[in-house]
Parts: sequence; C-alpha cells; structure tokens
Amino acid sequence: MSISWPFLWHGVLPQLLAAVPMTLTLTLLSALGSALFGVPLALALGSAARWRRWPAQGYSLLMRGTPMLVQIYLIYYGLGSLIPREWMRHSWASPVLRDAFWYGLTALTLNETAYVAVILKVGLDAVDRGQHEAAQALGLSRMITLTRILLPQALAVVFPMLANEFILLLKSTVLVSTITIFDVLGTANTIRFETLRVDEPLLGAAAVYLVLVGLVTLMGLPIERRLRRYR
Amino acid sequence: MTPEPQPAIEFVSVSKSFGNTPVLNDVTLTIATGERVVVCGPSGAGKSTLIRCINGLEHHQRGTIRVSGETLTGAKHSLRHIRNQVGMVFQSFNLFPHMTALENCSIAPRTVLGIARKDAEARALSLLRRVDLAGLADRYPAHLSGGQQQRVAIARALCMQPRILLLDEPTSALDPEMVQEVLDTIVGLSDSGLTMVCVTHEMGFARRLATRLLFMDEGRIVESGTPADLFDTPQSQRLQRFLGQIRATR
Amino acid sequence: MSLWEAPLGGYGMQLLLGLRLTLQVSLCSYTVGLVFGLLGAAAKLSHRRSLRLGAGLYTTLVRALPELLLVLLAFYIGAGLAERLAVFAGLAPQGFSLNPFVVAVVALGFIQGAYITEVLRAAVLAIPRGQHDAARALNLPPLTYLGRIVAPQALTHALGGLGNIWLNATKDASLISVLGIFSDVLKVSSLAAAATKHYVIFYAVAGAAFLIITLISMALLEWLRRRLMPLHVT
Repeated sequence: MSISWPFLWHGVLPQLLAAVPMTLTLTLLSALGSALFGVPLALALGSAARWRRWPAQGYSLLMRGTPMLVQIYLIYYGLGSLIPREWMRHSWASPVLRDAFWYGLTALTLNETAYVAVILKVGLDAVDRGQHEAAQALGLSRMITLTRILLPQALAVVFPMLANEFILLLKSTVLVSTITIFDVLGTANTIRFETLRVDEPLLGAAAVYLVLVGLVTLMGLPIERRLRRYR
Repeated sequence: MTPEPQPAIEFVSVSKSFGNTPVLNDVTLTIATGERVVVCGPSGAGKSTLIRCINGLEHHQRGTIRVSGETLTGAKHSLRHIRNQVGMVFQSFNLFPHMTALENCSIAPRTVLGIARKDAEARALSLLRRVDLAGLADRYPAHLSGGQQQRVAIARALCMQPRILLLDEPTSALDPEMVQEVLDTIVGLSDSGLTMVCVTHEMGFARRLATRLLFMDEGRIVESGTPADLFDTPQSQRLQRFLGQIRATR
Repeated sequence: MSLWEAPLGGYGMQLLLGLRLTLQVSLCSYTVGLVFGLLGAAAKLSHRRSLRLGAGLYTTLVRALPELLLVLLAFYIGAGLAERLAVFAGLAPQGFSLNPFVVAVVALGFIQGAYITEVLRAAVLAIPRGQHDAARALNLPPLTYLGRIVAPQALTHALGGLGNIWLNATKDASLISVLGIFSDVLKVSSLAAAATKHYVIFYAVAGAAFLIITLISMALLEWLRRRLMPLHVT
C-alpha cells in the first residue's frame, strides 16, 4: 500500500469535502421526513383498530426486512421505468423526475420512517398513562395532547435511540452512491475510476466519515444532558 | 311554581364491569349543584370508577349518566363539552413534568378555551396564589414536594373554571406530613359554590368538607347522609365494620 | 422469449443460485462474526488495558464507518495487504490471490463482529455480580464457571441482539452485488432487470427473496427464544 499524501491532500480531500454537503443534505432531509411520517406510523402501529395496525405492521416489516439497496433500486429503476417518457422530458416536474437525488431521498425516507416509527412507539408507550388521563380530563384536543404532552416526554425517553438511528442513517446514505448520486463515497468512487488510484480515495472517504460520525456523536451529548433536566 | 334547578350529576341505574368483574352495580344517585359529596368505602368498592365515569375516563355499560343535564354518550364532542365543566384531581397528580407549574395551569385555557397567553397566565397565577404557591410558578414538578405538586394540580383543574370538581383520593399518594396542607386547600374551596365529589379515606377531612357522605361497598351505595349521620349512627353492618377498621388504624 | 415462457424469463434458475450464494455469504459471514465477536468481547472484558483499548478501537472504528465503504476497503486495500502479508510470512506462494468469497465473508464478518462484541459484552455484564462470588465461594474451576454459569445466562441476554445482527447480516450480504464479481440474488436481479427492462418485477422478486429469509429467520429466532425461556434468568 503506497499512499501518495500530496495526492490525498490536494487531489482527493478537497473533492470529498465538497461532497459533504450532499451527504448531510440527504441525511437531514430524510431524517426530517422520517420524523414527520414516523409519528402517524407509530400511532398506527399502536392502534387498536386492525385496519390501521396491520398495514402499518406490514409496511414496517417490508422496510426493515429487505435490504436498503433493493429498495433504492426498486425506486430508482422501478419507479423510473414506470414514469411515462413524456413526464420525464417535458413536464414541469422534469427536474425532479430526472434527478437521481429525489429518488435516493425518497428511498432513504421511506426506509427510515419505519425505524423511527418503532422507536417513537417505544417512547410513546413509556409515557405514564396518567398523562393521557390528565390531558383528557382537561379537555385537551388529541393533537395538542400528542404534540405538547406526549411527544415531548416520549422524545426525552428515546433520544439516545434516535441519536443512534441518526448515525445509522448517515451511514446508509452511502448506498445512494450506487444510483449516481455524488455524495462522499460516490465522489471517492469517481476519483477511483478516473485516476485508477484506490488507496487515497477510499481511505480519504473513511477519514471523512469518521469525522462526520464523530462530530454528530459529540453534538448529541449536550442535548441528552439538557433532556435529563426534567426527570 | 319554580322548576327545580338541574342537578349537577345524575346516575340512573348505572352498571359497569371490567371484563367479568362487576364494579358498579345498578347505581342511582343525584348530586345537586353546590353539594360537596365525599365517597368512602373499602378498596374495590367502585369509588374511583364511579367518579371516573363522570368525566368519561371510564365508560359505563348500562344506565344513564347526566352532567348538568347533558347525557354522557361516547360522542367526542359531548365528552369535550362535559370535560370543560368538570375538573379532576388525580391521586398521582399527573402534572406534566416537562412544564412549569405556570405552564401546567395555563395550557388548557390557552389551547381549549382559546384564551390569550397573557390572560391565561394571569389566571394561572391568581389560582396558584389561591393555593398558596404563587412564588413557585416557574418551578418544574420535579422540584416540588408531593403536597406542592398536588396543589398545583388543583390549581390546574380550577383554571378551566369548572362547575364540578372531582377528586380521586387526592392525598393517598402523599407523605403524611403533606396531607394536611392539601386537605386544607381543598376545604378552602368550600365557599366557592363548586360542586365537589371526593373519594378519600380521610374521615376527619370528610367531616370538615362534606355536605353529604356516601358509603360504597361492592359497587353499590350502601348508605348516604351527612357525615354526622353516618359516623355517629351507622345503619348498616358493613358501614359499622368499615368504621371500626378505620378507627383501629388511627 | 416472453416473460412467462420460462420461470421468470429464464432467469429463475440463476436467481435461485444467486439466492444460494446470498445465503452462503450470510451464514459464513455471521459465523466469522461470532468468532470476531467472542474475541472482541473477551478482550473488552479482560483485565489488560491494552486489550480493552484495542477492542474499543475495533468496535468504534467499524461501527462508525458505512458497511459499503468497509467492504470496498476490504476488497481494494485489505485483500491486497493480506495477500502480501501471507506471501511475506511464507504462508503462501508468490502471486497468491485470495478467493473473493473468502474476502467478502471475512469483511462482512469483521463488521458484524464489532456489533456482536458489544452485544456479548452487555450480556455478560448483565449477569449479577453475585454469580461470580458464589462460584468463587464454591471453588468452581474457571472453565466450568464460564461454560456452565456464564455462557447460558449470557446467551439468554444476548439472544435478542444476536438475532437482530443476524437479520442485518442477511441484508448486508446484498452489498456484495455492488462489486460486480458475485452473482448473488441482487446482482442477478439487476442484470435480468436491465436486460428485460422489467425493473419492477425483478427487483420485487429480489426483495421478496430477502423478505422470505427475514421471515423464516424471525420464526426460527422466536422458536429459539421460547426454547430458552425455561433457563430462567434474572
């Protein structure tokens, strides 16, 4: 293994760092999306009504029981093949339909929603029954009860699990490099193909991801401390 | 002839079971506005279930319950209407731990009654003052003693200006030295004209507060009358036995 | 040839073979993972600080990096290093080249080992301290203690985590399709899809294959959990 440090420093790292925003964008947007959709899914998973619970459990099983790669290919190639050519080329939605980014983001969000929902359900189940009753007795609406009373407490309970999940999501974003999205790994692979150098791009990518994960982990610690204030 | 004023609470042949276990057995009861009713009896008599049926936290299976003339159905909007008039204080306080005392009190007036934040907070402060906790408005429940938490819970219920206040064993979860402060607070509400229904084991308190005392056993109201009547001249054997047990432990 | 003339347009057999390869990779990598995991857990629980730190470095690094990147590192850098090391140590002839299957299995096993280390370590720590004291008081030989006292209890605690890692292992096996040299079920599906343009069908089939593996695994894990219940652990 012969690493050319100048090449790593000047030829590889700048490009990799330029791709970090892409990785972070994918991570943050899918995190937000999965948080948004994860709440109704978590509620459905815990619902007493079978017609709500079963589809939710089915979705959860599908997303968590199949590899992420398969889901990405299914959405990118599969969905892509179903969309009529006309829409792809000449419609107002063309920029979205032709850009691999949105397919990748969709796949990441759909998948992550299932995992987040399971965690949120654990959190919601952990909230004391008395809180539900107090909210009911006060006449608080279901929406207010959920958003102002139950979710804050649920989040405080499962925050470490969500923080861990965020890191797993960050790592999963590399899989969209297989559908021509230029995140950090995608860029590293491109450098590999173009320069035929293997060591620097891959080790450079490894270093970048290490730093990213390290930073995210450190950022989670003060939040965890602050949440303990209420307990 | 003036029509009789509407009773605050009416139970007509109400029955409820948990699975196969009957908990309320054909209960018929009328509580007039302004009455202060204390419900006592052995464990499992159905006392908590009785009052939890009043604001729909439990659903009765047979019979009719009316609150201020409105019949309790399962319907969402009827429940909401009733809950706006009925306040509840729980044995385990059930304060929202991530909110200050002030926020606990003001959240319902703001989100349910649509009262502006400033006004809701003013109302909350005045009620916290009434339960002697004005200085602790910005504390979180974790930093309040049990007695203080329960008093915040009382203030929180009162912030909705209910006509009826339900209290489910309000001092049972408190350390002994804090029981009195809460009982005093509750008795202090006597002059407000509020209809009160309180489940409790505190007999001295019952004497101070109640205009009527109900003794329940096995899902039925066995005796009903003033505290003096029931304590001094218990009619039924069951009540006599119950009183004997209570006195033995004092 | 239309889609229905032969099972899945003639790809049926290839898909089954691909599925077999996927299963082989999953099972072998998980086994390797167990080995790494046992070694790692032993190191993390040891009295020697150097072992603890070494194992800590292992788990931290591996868990911080994306699996796909680790697989690429293993194939493009790791394999070469291992080969040159083997030749240098005289274990292999010049020009020796590792079997790709072995590289994949060791790489994936190495990844899973990091997670298994953590699960096993937590499981052993979950055993109440009193057990160790009782064993010493009874003068139990260390091996007996480990084999008859620690292992069964740790296993019950670890079962959930180990099961989850197995489920992940079966899904991570799909990563080898990216390398292009393996005909696992996902790679075959990709080729078939590209050739026939029936993308949805073939990727759905791949998904279904993995889903079936998952469902069967979950059923087996549940059976295993029930069988171990009578072991009664605090």
